[in-house]
Amino acid sequence: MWDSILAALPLLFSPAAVLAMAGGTTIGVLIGALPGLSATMGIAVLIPLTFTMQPLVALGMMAGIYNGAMYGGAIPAILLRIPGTPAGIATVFDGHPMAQKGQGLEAMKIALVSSAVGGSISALALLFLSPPLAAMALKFGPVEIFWLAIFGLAAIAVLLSDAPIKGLISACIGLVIGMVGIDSMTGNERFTFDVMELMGGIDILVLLTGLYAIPPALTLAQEALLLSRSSGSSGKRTHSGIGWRRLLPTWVRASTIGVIVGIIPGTGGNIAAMLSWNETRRVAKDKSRFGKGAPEGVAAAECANNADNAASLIPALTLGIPGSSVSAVILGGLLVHGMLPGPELFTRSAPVTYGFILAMLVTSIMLFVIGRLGARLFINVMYMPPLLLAPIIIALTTIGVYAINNSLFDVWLMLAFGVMGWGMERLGIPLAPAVLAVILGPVAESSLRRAMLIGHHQIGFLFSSTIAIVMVTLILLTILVPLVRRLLAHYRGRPSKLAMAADPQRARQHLEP
Amino acid sequence: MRQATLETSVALAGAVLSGCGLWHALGFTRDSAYLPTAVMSLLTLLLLVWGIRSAWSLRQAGSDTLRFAPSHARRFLTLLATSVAMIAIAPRLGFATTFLLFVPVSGWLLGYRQGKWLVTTAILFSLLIYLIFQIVLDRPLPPELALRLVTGS
Repeated sequence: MWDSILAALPLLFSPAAVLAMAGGTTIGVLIGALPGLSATMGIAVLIPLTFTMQPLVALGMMAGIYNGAMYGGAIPAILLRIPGTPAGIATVFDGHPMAQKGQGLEAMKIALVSSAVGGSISALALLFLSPPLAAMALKFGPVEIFWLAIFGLAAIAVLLSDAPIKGLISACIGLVIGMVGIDSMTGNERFTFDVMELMGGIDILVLLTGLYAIPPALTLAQEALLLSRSSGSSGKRTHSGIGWRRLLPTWVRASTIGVIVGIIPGTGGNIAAMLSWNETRRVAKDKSRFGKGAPEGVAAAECANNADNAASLIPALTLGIPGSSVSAVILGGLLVHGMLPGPELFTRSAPVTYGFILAMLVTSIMLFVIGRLGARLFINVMYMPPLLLAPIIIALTTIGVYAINNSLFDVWLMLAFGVMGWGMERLGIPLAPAVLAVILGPVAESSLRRAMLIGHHQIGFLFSSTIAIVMVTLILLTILVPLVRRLLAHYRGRPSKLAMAADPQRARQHLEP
Repeated sequence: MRQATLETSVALAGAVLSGCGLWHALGFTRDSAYLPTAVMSLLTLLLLVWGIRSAWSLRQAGSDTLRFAPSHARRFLTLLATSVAMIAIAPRLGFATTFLLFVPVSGWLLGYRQGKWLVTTAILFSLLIYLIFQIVLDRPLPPELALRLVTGS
């Protein structure tokens, strides 16, 4: 591990990589500060632009966008009571009351430092937890890899949606998209309908850009959310004096929650932030301060949602199972640069992989500097007119996708996926299971075929190892536990805290003081 | 219109499409057909269950009503139409030249009325796109009409 880290350092601190990380962090904060845009969308738009870059330069930029956007979401949450990203909802609870008291800049400072602390701790967790997990995963055979892929799909499909049936529909749609093209094992065409451009399959970048970049642009134009400069914080400035030492226990608690939530597939920054804010309020001596501008509330939410970032990449990098939509998009970015997600990342492409992990750490530290220097710019960007921004996003994705293969067919396909994604969002069908299924579907299918060949087509071979049985049990639990919880909630008449935290609308209604 | 009505219609239309996909998948050779057949069968079943559940919820009073303001629909369709036009003409005019027209026209049609900003943004954005893709990344993109008009070549 240390050899690979040492080999990664010169690449990571090359001028191009440093510039990409700083640029990515700045772009990330700008994207996060714009309500309606997210880190997933930012990375999806920029991946096509990075494919001619050196892998570590491109991945450094993605790391910057990821960390930057998570903090950026706090700016409109604090100043306008509008979370820039779903993970910024818990920041509204105490951040906006602070702004109303004239302490908006202090709240932003707390959010910035807490984000940098959470991001750094999360990157360290990724650095030290990934190698042992990857070493264990290297011992997996085709049977274990098949069940692992199914587990990843089941977890995302069931946990990410309010209705598990919609998550499963999304996963099936992704599996079908992943099957389009020539079957690599038999050479037969599947779902190509004699269209020449579909023979090679659907490029994951076309799908990612279509599903994650086009719907936000359409929604921006449709809703035309105009932010008024007068709707923000109070004009007078007051200082409460931030007791940084007082925030230390909050950061420790929030980072721990963020890292644990991040590792679990199907969760995300919004759940981490909500649970952390709730836990900080629960252990506080004076609970009445929360929701009225308690600095600990801002610190808890922002530290936890950034601590979720790198941690959510642990299953993605080591097992090839992205636990969230952002990590699915980052996996897409790895694939573009010829790196196959999974345990072999830590052997075949070790310097670049460790370089990327260190980039998550470096961009968390950079975030602190960039956030301080660019505060005024980031505040102003919130007021950018969405009616002008929406066509720019569409134009950028169009040329980005065209430039990959010089194919206009890909651009039309991206637009079609975009409209499909917009429709899926309107119907409450989550997008992440579809993307995950496109990545994991071929892995599951080829592993299943190899397992069947090794096991002489005996189904029992799929249950022949202890790891396989553990995974099948986990899959059953993943599918059954939410159903049981839903039934219990139905009989009790109220949802559980975790279910509330997972649904931004419901969380706001039930938890916001 | 109620959300459940829309969901029922989409689910049933999807189930029909998925059923056709299943029929198509049954025609694949044996080794290639396992997964497509299984997935299409599951998808058809899930869509049918979703459709039945949505139809059932239609019977209950007080289910969600869809609120779709005419201005929302107009802006959505406007951006979609201008995007389709942009993609169709970009290979003929060149991407930067097309964006020079697409950004201000779309912005104007969507309802943004600050003419100065529309023009400035379009020029800066097109220049940036040209610099990044033609000069820095050196991608083989269609020739730019605007450049040919300016240079006369």
